[in-house]
Amino acid sequence: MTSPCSQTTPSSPAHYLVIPPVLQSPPSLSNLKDHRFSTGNLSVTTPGTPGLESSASSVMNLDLNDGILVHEVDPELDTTHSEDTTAVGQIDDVADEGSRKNLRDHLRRTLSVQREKSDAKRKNDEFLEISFVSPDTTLEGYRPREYFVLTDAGKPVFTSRPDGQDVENLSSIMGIVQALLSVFLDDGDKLRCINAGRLRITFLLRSPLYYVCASSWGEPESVTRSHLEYLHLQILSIVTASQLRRIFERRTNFDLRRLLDGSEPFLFSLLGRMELDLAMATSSLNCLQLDQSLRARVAEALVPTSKMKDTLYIILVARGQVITLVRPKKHSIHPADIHILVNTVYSPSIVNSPASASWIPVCLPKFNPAGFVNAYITFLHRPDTDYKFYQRTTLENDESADITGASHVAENSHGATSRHTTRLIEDSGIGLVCISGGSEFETVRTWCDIVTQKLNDDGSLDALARAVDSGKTRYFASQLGIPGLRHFVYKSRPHVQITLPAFEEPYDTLDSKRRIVTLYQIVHDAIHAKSGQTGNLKLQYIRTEKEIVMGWITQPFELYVVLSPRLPKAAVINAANAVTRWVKKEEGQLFLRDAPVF
Amino acid sequence: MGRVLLKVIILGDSGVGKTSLMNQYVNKRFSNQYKATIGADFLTKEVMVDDRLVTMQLWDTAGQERFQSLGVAYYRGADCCVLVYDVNSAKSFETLDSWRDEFLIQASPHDPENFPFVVLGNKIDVEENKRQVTQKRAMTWCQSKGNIPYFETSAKEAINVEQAFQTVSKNALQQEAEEQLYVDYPDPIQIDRESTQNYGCNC
Repeated sequence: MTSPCSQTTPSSPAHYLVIPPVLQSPPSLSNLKDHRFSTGNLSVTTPGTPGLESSASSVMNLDLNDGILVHEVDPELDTTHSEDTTAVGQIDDVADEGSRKNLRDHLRRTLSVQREKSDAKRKNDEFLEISFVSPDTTLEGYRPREYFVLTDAGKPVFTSRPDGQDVENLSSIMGIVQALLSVFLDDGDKLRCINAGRLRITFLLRSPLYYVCASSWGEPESVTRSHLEYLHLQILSIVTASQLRRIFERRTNFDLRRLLDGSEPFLFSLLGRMELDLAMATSSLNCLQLDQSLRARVAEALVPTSKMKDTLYIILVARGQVITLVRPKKHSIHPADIHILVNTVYSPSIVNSPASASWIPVCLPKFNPAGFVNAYITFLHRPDTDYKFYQRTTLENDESADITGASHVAENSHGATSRHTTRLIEDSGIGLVCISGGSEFETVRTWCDIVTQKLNDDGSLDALARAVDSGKTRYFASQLGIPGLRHFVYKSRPHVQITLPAFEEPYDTLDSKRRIVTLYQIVHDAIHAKSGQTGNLKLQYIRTEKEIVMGWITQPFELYVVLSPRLPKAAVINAANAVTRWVKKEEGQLFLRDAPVF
Repeated sequence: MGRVLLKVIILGDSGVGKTSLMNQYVNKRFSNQYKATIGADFLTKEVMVDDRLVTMQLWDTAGQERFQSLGVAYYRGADCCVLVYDVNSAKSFETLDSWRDEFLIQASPHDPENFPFVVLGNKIDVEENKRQVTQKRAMTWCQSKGNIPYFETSAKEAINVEQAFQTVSKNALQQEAEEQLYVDYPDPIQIDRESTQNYGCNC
């Protein structure tokens, strides 16, 4: 048995997140309400909590005198379904056969020796952990995270490593992972992660598949775990959960790569997207900022006729963001399904396809993991060559302009080819997606053609294209005119949507974006107590040498702000309030509301 | 698509030479020193089978009683199982039956009757008068279990090791490849707009 030279904490999730001591919230600001959210991965907000809408008016209920935010958080708002929360760390010593116990004990001994060592070292390590947020630690930069997917028999399914590299080493990694997980599984236990210095290896078990992420970015465990969850959903979107189950029931040694052959680009673009996508990180939607009346006009045109019996969703997208979404009255769409769908639509093989439309089977795992629906995808507007040239120049001059944080395949460190083309088309391509349960391709195609014609004729398509191309579909924090404000993420909880400005100086380089996104993730994790913290904080305030990051959760919204580090606390509070006021004022164009249903 | 990975499990009593066989095959080395395997270990080797380059992942398991039950997770999804005994030990031959059963129970392959096993009678380099299991006896047993291929080997002198593992890889690949083309395509799902399904994205 090859023993992992690392510290495992299979049974004590509280160890995972080490919040550096310097990061404590100042007493005058903190409000440590012990609302316990269940820990887990993709948090799914359940709708219909009465009174949510109406309480939105109390957003400003911020007592500035003692700086305590008085909003109660409804603990039921975030319910998570994660099997990982159960049976973790349960070791059934009694039921063990002696032999297995022996092996297990052996492994335990090896691991505990390592643990003692690293405990001793921890004193020094603490500095490292802290310095993650301090500026000079990014010396080694952000090494790309590594992802592995294998079957529970230890057969490779996917790796984020470039093709053909280290094949031999790779099959060893798969073997070791399978062996490690097996030791714990045979005891009815699950290995969640291994911490080895700065490196954390996170495991997600979704039988018959195992998912692994190795990262040294210093993000909370819940972040890499949710990446693995998304990876799983993307794979399900290709093969469906029921097909996966049936295949492995029949043959435990099945090589899934046979089925996934050709779909790696979907997984690579997903990995690239997840790196900076804060909508995915907060399980919400980030729709395209757009004039309210234009959005409404476009949406009206998308309501399907009664002939389109099997229509599920109709979605219009641009820049990788949803413009509008038309759905049946009784169905709402899960944010994760939207993300998987948008990622699929913008994968190079679809978005760059010379065909006028694509008709692909896709499984929306949160809607129904058992089967496929059909997606008709067509790009209504493509920039002509002159436009491309124009785009290229602007992009090169202004790196920051293309990022809204929520919508790009662009900075994929995993070697996706033709990245530039993807980015260009993505920037102004407007895609129409029609999800149908039926297979009456002709009906869907004809209808989509009519819709396109209608949007063309009434000038809405042109207006959309102009808005997208002229940069009106994004904004910058500086436009808000709030002193010290650098960036923010605002999540409207009733809408399950976020809004955020495009990244600008000093967050205009890739590494600085990664850094700020990781800080957001740390605060988000703490506020939701996602890593087994004893209580979730309603307010978290982090000051690094470079900035102040504050997260604040109330019933109607979550707000994450990044401010200049020298700002006094009162000014931080003022800025947070000013942001919420601004969002409230601009709500109409920032969020997708009142989209028609059918 | 990446290279095919073949998972091979090696079973047999303690001290029959499982680790040595593997070492001889993978590293072309033999050591007289006996070191008990704790739990399980694996080695990988790239091999050509029928003009295809495949990766063999050989799982060496501990033969000792106390580690005998490694559990279902190790055996799962194996493509071939190698049963090893020592021709100079009748007992190690007699336990082949239970090793085979153990494997079939734990791995529960979909078609146990046709699951590929290979039997190796090891340590044929030891002087003839110490031999306790005749070739005939071993071959009879192999035939009775559905014509399991049988090899007499010496890990120490590298006799028949290469040939034996060639058969292992060939049979493993066959097992891995068969039936895999048959993948059914699930039907599109029916959309029932009237049944309520809400996730909270009320946009």
